[in-house]
Amino acid sequence: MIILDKELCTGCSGCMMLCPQFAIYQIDEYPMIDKSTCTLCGVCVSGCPVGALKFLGDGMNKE
Amino acid sequence: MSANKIYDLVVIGGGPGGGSCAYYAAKNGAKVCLVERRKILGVPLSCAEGISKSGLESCFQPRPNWIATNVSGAHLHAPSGIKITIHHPDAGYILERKIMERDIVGLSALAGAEIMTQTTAIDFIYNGKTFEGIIAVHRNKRIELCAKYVALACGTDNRLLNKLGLNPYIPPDDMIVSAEYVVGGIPVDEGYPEFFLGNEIAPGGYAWVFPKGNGLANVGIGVGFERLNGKLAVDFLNKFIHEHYRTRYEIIERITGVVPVCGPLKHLVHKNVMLIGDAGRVCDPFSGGGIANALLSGKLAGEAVAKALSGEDLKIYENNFFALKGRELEVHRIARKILITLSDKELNELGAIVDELYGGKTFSAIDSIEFLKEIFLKHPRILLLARKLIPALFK
Repeated sequence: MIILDKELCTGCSGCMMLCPQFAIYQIDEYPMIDKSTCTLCGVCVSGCPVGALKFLGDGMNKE
Repeated sequence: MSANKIYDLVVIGGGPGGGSCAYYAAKNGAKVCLVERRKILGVPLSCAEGISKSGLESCFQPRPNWIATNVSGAHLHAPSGIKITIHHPDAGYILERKIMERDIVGLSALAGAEIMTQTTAIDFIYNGKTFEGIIAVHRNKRIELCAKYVALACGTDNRLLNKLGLNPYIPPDDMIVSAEYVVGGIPVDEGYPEFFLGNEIAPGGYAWVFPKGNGLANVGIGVGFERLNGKLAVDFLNKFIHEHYRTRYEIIERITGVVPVCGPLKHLVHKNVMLIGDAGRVCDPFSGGGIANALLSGKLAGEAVAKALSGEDLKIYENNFFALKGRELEVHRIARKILITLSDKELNELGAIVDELYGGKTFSAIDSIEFLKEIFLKHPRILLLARKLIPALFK
């Protein structure tokens, strides 16, 4: 599962542009991931300019 | 807003493209409703705020508070560290985009457009033949807005393009991932935005320092998605600042964005729906700048709607846009493709050519196609690449 770190997210919605499955949407301040279409390809995780999207369990204990 | 009202035009998105479209449609007599997801127009910002004078003024007469600083030239930094200065008085502006964006939507409201903030378009009303409006979430409530025409100025929202039946997929190498800080304390040359090239600094893109006035600057970086190599755009930005500036500085705002540099979609009119700005991928693929073409595409789309209401074909929007910008966008798209293949050594050679032709000189106008042609012609390997890739350049 991919999760969003709201402390890092700037709300730019660039991840919506990145997602090849168009699985990311945004109704208000923060993007949300439609789990039924997300294939966990990780494009949004590597492409988010500030690393606000992460695979669950990945990098959670850093810093 | 009454439930059964039918608008002439619903505009999705209150950025520069959507605002411009709503303004020009309303000004020319159309009944317009603009929906915007955000609570506050212009916030969050996702932009470096640079624009050419002609790019802005062909659509709007800027108010003084839209302008942070005037641009009178540029400093280009080759990977070797060699700095090339080009003087170009009145070349453009570094904007206060948040103010401009709000004002343009304000102007469209004054021209008669209805504005709905906190309203997120989620789908279209489709009768099997044409689109009859949009479905949106307005402050947690589902609403329908009926319209004869729809303008999609939704920036990054590829889901809506997908729902139109267009394929919004962008190849990873055609996406620039950007991070920018607004900083105080970094030395700038007022009037001279700086651009830094190099495969170490910003692979597939460039770094920039744009003076914002009062000691502030937009310091940012754009990196090609496929060249991130496991790093984040913000990592490149931190490294760039660390290696280039030894002064104490403070970050007062963090800004990010993803820029599609694939070049415009083949068609900007799809049935009775128009694509504007980044939604139509009309931002400049060479510079990554998006505001000027968003404003222009919005203006032409707004005017086209007014004409379509009196019987003309909506396609005049796309025809007019491509007549003005088609060749430039195509040349810039391929020029970027060439530039990102160059080694730092070749970029330095290109820098020396730019320095010889433009360095230290003053220009009143620089035609980007002529500029690219001139510098490519002087470098044997780049010329070879260019001849193969840009027939349009040598027509």
